Amino acid sequence: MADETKLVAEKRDQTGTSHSRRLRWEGKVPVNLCGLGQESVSLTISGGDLKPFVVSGSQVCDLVIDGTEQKVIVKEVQWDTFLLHILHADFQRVDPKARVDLEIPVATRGSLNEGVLDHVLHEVSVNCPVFNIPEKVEVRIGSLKIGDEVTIADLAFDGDLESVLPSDTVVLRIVEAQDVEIVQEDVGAAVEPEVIGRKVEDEEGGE
Amino acid sequence: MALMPKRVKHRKSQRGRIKGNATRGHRVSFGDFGLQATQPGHVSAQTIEACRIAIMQYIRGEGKLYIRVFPHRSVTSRPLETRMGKGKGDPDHWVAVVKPGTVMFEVGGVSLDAAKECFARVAYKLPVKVRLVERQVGAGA
Repeated sequence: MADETKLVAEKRDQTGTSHSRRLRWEGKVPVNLCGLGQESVSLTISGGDLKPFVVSGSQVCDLVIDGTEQKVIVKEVQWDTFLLHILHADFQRVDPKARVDLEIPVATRGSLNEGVLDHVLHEVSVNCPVFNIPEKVEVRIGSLKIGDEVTIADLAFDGDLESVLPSDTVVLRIVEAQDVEIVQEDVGAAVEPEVIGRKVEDEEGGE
Repeated sequence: MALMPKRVKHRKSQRGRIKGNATRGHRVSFGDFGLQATQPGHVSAQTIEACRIAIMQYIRGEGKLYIRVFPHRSVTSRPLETRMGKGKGDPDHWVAVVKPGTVMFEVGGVSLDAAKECFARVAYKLPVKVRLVERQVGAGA
């Protein structure tokens, strides 16, 4: 479990595209906060604080608004095309003793001795208490052989964690390295695709 | 045969302009590393095929390749030594429209160094500038 970060947010009165753009030019990120049956609040957070927190993979933090702290989780983060700037983020208030559904990345450890790794699920959905959210789930792949599959049931979850997915869901498998025959395909053949709705020339000529 | 659609609604299309950045297909979704375009451009089916061969020759079945672009648009050309006029030329080849941010190729099951080396070879073949991107936590699919 990661050390919990404190993020300082300020309330904002104005909403909308142009105001949000102005905030982004100033290096701030427009943020919404909702949850626990309370009204949603529009906030701003410094982009310099928010980005390292999101990139670190942490999902829970203490949000400080006007001097009061609230435990929140990150529900959604919107990035620009090149993953350089955060455009918007949604936070949800959570009860520190409650359980939440989250997606946790699956990381591999070790290196394969044989075969090729087919990583089917890069993230798994888990139900866990807010105070014990793991950063990732590790899978040791050093001893795996060709044909082996790692399912949800094989993952080493802590006692508090429960998987939301069925236990027989495949997370990764080891497949045989295919001896690929690299054939350069004939690119000179000028075959045109079928045109939808066009009759064949013979039929047109017969009419 | 290089990649091209099986069925089309119209044989020829207008050239158009490539505006803005990619808002879809701009994340590493299947593999571990991706090759992301940083410029707009048209990538022909032949180029995609050449890139596929270059990647497969490098990874040699040790990893998985995902091709994320498809040549949906036809490009016409006029025969040599013909006069202007007499209508639009016939379809000559097929291209994929690539916006800045589009992840064109992805590889999985290989190390970062191998992906770097592999994509460096591919970058020479492409008509757009590219960069290597990794799967990022919290970036969404």
